[in-house]
Amino acid sequence: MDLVAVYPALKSLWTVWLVLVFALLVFRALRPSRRAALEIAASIPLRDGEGRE
Amino acid sequence: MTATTMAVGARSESRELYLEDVVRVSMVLTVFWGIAAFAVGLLIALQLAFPVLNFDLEWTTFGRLRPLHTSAAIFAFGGTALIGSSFHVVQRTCRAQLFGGEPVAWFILMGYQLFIVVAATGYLLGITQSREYAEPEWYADLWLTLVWVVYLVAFVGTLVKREEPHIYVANWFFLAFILTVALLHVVNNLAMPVSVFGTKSYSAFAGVQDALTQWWYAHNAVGFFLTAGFLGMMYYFIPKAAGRPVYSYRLSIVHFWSLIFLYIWAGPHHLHYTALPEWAQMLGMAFSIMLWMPSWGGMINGLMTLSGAWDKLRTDASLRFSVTAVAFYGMSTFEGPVMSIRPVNALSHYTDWTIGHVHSGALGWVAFIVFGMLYHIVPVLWGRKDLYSRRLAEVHFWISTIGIVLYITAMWVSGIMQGLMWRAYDELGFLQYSFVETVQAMHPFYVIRAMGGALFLIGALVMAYNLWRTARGDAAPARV
Repeated sequence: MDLVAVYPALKSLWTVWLVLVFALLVFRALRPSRRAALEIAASIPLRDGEGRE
Repeated sequence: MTATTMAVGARSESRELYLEDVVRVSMVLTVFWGIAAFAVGLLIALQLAFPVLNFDLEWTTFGRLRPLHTSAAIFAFGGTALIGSSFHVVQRTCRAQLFGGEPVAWFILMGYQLFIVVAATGYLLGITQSREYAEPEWYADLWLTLVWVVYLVAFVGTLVKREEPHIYVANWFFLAFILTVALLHVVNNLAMPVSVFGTKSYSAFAGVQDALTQWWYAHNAVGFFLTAGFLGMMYYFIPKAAGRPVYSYRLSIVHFWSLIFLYIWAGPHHLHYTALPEWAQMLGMAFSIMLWMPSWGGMINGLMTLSGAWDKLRTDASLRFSVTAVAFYGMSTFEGPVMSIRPVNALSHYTDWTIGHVHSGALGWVAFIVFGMLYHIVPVLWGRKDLYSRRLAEVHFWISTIGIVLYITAMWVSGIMQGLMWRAYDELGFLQYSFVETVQAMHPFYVIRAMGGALFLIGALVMAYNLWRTARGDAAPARV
């Protein structure tokens, strides 16, 4: 069986691939070790020295 | 240079680092196009109620002015606001000057204005592709493609040369907007001109494929132009005005990716009960319903950013508009999926309900988030401590909110009534109402809608005056 033969089967699974990619992205965003880095990232707009205050 | 040392840069330093003239001009143009779009909208609303206002001239008929209104609102007002605010946000959150410097920035802004003027004058002369939100003909499309590619290069170039290690989430939304609009614009406008010197062209697609390409484009114009771009605005200006970081940065990442993964499939819901295969209609409906979740996730994230700072709603005009915009975003992204459900769509499609839905998004979400951005950015860009008049901003807020409520409630009643009248049968199985009877029944609601539009326009004029006085640095008399 060559690649051409399995291609239609793999192609029909594109929804599954996309869901897996999405799950990976969500996992990356939510894993506890990222908390500190994301908190720093969230404060980026507040550290630009601009504002009316 | 580290992010922290950059962050302590005083305003004078930032003035040298960032391009601000182009952002200032884009804000003036945004206000101008907003007023133009609202004024034409009011005129065509009045034309529907009082047809004599078509003036019996082909240039001023509803058919030609309607795309002028939609393009002025979406592309001129919304697009100019997005270009200007994305320049502002990407420079500040990357601590870097816009890639390409002044010449590139001015080319993007002014090239885009040229596109708008060419497209708009074409509509009045009857030159159109007749594709909703993609009416401009091939020559205008080619020019926009060039401008947009330069915009993409400038934006990505700025991200590449950033000093800040992380790309802030607002920039993700802006990038998704720029990239996807490029893709949508190029594919949907594939066409063959009849001649090099003629304006007419024919689409590369035909039949139902043509319809699906068009609605894939148009719905994603809503998704990526009118939603993703303005979410970029929300993720910068709400934390900025509230003085606190976004409620959950993790949620913003999940919001982003789920919106990106889902939105692109929702277009077929515009073609329910047409020649489009039923599986494709169901696909569009299913993805539209799934969109509820990211939309409400984003809304919650925007609203909850204010937790602990709700008191600022009473004093900060920018925040008041932005937060109300997010509430309207939640409302219209609830209504949209409901309307995409096929049996609901059977009633709502082709009626005024759709017009009401579009305007709860366009006025409530898009225009209000832009107003919020303007009330924040104008004092910052012109170096003022505060707005000229908070009281006038308050007047603007209430007058516009009442205008929106009049508009959308009139269209709900009118649209549902229209849909019900179209499907009513008498005891012998004949249609109960003729078409003209439905038009007569809608007349009072058309008048109410025009009143709502007039209030919205008056509010925008009040804002223009307030912002002009703010930019001039005028001090407000007491109690204004």
